[in-house]
Amino acid sequence: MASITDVSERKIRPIYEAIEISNYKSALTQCNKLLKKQPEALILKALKGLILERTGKTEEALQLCSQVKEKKPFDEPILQALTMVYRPLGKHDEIVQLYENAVRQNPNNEELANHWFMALVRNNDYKGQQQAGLKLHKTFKVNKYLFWSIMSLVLQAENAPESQSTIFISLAERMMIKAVSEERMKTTEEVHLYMIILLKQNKFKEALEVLENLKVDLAQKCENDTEMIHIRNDLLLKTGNWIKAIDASKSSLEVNADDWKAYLIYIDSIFHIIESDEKDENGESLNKKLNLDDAREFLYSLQNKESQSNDAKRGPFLAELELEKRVVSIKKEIKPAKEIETLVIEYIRKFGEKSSCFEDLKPYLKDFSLETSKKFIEEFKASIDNNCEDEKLKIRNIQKNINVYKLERYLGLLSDINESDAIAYVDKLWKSYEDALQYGSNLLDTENQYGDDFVILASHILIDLYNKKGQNSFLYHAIFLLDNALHKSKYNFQFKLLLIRLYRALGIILEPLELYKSMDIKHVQLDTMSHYVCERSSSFAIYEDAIQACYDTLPIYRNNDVETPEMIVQAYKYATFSKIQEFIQFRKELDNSLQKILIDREIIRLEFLTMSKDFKNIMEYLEKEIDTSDLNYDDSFCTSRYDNRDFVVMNNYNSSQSKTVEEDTRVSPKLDNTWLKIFSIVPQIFKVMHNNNNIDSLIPLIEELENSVKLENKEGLGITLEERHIGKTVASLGRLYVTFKEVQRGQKESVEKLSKIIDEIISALKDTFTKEFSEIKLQELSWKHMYRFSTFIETCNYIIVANKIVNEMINVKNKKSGNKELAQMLQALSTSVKQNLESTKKQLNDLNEKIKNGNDDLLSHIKSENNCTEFCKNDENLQLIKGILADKVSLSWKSSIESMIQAIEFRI
Amino acid sequence: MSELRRFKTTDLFRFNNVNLDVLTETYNISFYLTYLARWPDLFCVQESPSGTIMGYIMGKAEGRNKDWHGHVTAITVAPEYRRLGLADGMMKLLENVSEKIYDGYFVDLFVRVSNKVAIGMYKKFGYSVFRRVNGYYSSGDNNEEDAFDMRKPLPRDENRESVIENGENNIVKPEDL
Repeated sequence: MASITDVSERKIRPIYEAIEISNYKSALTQCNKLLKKQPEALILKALKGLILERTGKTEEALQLCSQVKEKKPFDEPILQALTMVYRPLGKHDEIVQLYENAVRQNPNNEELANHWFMALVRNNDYKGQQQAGLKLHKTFKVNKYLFWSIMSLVLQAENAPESQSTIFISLAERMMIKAVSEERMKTTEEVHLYMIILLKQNKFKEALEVLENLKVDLAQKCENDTEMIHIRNDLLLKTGNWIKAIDASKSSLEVNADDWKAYLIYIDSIFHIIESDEKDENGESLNKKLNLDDAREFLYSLQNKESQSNDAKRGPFLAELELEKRVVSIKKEIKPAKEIETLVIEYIRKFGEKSSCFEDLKPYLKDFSLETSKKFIEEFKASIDNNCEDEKLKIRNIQKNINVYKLERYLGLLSDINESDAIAYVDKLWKSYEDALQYGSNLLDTENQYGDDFVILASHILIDLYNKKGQNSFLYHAIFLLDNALHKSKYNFQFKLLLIRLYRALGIILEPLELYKSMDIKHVQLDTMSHYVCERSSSFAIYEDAIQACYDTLPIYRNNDVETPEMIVQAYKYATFSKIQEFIQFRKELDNSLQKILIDREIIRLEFLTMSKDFKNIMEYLEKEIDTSDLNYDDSFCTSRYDNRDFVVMNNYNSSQSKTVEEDTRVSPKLDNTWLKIFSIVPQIFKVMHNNNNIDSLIPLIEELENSVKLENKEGLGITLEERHIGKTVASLGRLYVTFKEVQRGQKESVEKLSKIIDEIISALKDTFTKEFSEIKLQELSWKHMYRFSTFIETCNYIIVANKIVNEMINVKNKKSGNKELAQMLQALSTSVKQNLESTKKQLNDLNEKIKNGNDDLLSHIKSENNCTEFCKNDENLQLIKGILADKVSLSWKSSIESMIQAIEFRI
Repeated sequence: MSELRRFKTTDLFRFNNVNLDVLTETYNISFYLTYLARWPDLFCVQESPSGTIMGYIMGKAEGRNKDWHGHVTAITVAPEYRRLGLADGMMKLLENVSEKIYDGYFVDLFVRVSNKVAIGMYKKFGYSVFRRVNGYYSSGDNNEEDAFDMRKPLPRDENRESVIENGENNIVKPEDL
């Protein structure tokens, strides 16, 4: 019989205490001591299992636990100890069995039964959950358990093939109907569950009926739940209840004149009524009762109300724009009451000082002609009273002027601007920024200066110029402005994101890493934001920092594994049915995050490089750290990734036809599934070569890699030319290996094949060799150069490692005839790689010398190469500029180049 | 102009424009999901017509007997959406749910005593200082700061027992909360 009572609590407590403070050594000693006296005491065995698990002795721990489990224990402390062993190891099914057994012996213990249900939840066992829920409901007569069971059916339906899915969901519906008839449905969350079931089946009419026939108290609760209101309104639209929808949105708007969703429902309904000839119950046409003029009148009445308030809301005014825009686009024959141009001008007169003004108006400016746009901007400018004396008004004017510039850019009025005008424009923006500073002297450290967006806009202009002319000096000018402004608004993350991108474009990584750190990015943001520094972090050759930055993002994925299932359990516990599917989805999106895999592959890439300084290390790395089953790249795997990377957080005022600033500032295509494929296959090829068995698996890998690098170069493909070269080279190395094996098996004709492959690798290496970089000027030095150098070293490294692997095989086999010839071929390859690396090293050394003494030269180029900004001409700023060039630019370049030189030296 | 709706779990992937602001703390998964699992109707977001998250509020219901109340755990608005009345809308929603669904006596919140802008705003919304909590905010580098515990009574507190006059002088220690 399994019982805890055979060991007294007094004796066990010290063990618990030792475990709690992670003193496992002491815990184990005490546990063993007690076990000597009572070798069969289950609690002691279980605790010993826990201690072993915590100290990494998984196998022993599991063995002990299964001994305990066989005895079918039901004492909570024993169950808990075993659960604590099984859970971190992901052995949820063991926990399920454990509690199932316990419940069977104690059918009336509600707590145990709850644990059993939650174990099923953690195990994603929807069917088991459903049955357990029913059993719990039958035994303990608590309504919640019934709804647990219904919820589980919904999840079963979601995860079953369609034929079964229908059965599950209709069963769920029947159970729900029964629950309602027995008056069990009492909470908003249970109504949510009912809605999930009906909406999944597109039963909109039934869903609406449910909502309209709720008991008074429940109806009242639902009326105060925003989500339920939205569901109801959507249902009104979906069932064509236009009049009711209008009434509902009107009453929402009486309370909150800024409720955008309500306006959309209102406007949608109005247009439905106008366009159809639906009749009401008395046979009267609806569009006779209600037309556009009624809608306008309603909006005007809301506007009047707002106009009387000091703090007028934008809602009714934007809604008018929305209404007339739809009139223009849908009903060609009807004229809008007021032209969009007029409305937009009226809007900026009222709300031109709001920082949201730009975003508010964007959707309504799309069809503006150049003429209209110009007129609009002129009107906007004219409406600003720049001579006012009042400080508050002056501050409002700053925002108005910012909005003018943003709209001007968005409307494309700057697209034809020439270089000198553009620089003058930048100067004007900078002057506006400096003028605005005086009003912000009392702002807190944590606040942004009023004119910060002037600087953002100025840097956008400079980025345009860079993209047009390809000269780095524009990027430097932008960096100087942003860096300077960052001193005044220490936490402006828009500045920081732009700086990260601009520095990276110049081949600089240390400062971006600092900026990224200063943003305090953590938890879920690691998944969405880390790409700003981790993407192609190997380019800069500062390997340790890059590896660290990549590793720093990984905890979020582990946290998701550990925390999110517990939260799903919480949602059941509090019967929050509206969140269970959401949590499951969240977990899935994070677990299957594209970024997670991209980081993983980048880490392997970086580690492969750093480990192969020493042949023994890289062999050990391939042996222990590379697991082919973790390097999935097939289509179904790739397409089921979720891309959570945030590419929209950077502010963008570019016109809708042009690229966004985020796209404008990326130096290389964003990583995609093709990239993922290439860098999943590369380590796999080396793994097979290292294992020296299962050679047949190499051919499909090589072919897949060859296909990937041959892909047509179209917009959006996530690989660079250099990455194609890496792929091609590794594929050739794979072929080299296969052919070598053929030779070893005695296929004489393969010797010639081998020599051909080696020649190809050598000549490809020469082609990709960075000879055109022999005369790099500092003012041209950019990411492209760092990237060429680093990928060249990477390519050479792959050749060196493969070469050594093959060489080892020759050495192992005693010197048969022919081996000498093979050895010579490999020697030629190795000599060629070394020669190339030697010359690269020389280039890098030259470059390093240039950087060491080149700051003044660089600065004079930045100033003279193009039209120079006033900021840069101003001697007061000279110190800041020199500081940036020395501490942020040169320093990072030098670190990268020295690190590359070091990497080469290890290999020659 | 916005849509005030419940916070969806996957909004966590899209709230960077709000959370990168230095005064908005980013918490671990459990923190957000615990609120969503327990008080899904007290965690709401304001979304712009173009689908950008403008700000959000998270709250809970807690306390015993006459201390049963709604609590504002966090309220934040992205810099470019400030001064549009968004906080007002979110506070009203939280107060409404605290009153109608949770049947609380009052709503309360904590604010840094230095945050004059926010304090002024809460006063405008009908909140008054109930007490001052010594060293409530303590970040690593000795930057301890006091908090005002501000409250607004709900209709259930007919006699306004949850608020007092001159609460600024009513000083307590964090451990006595």
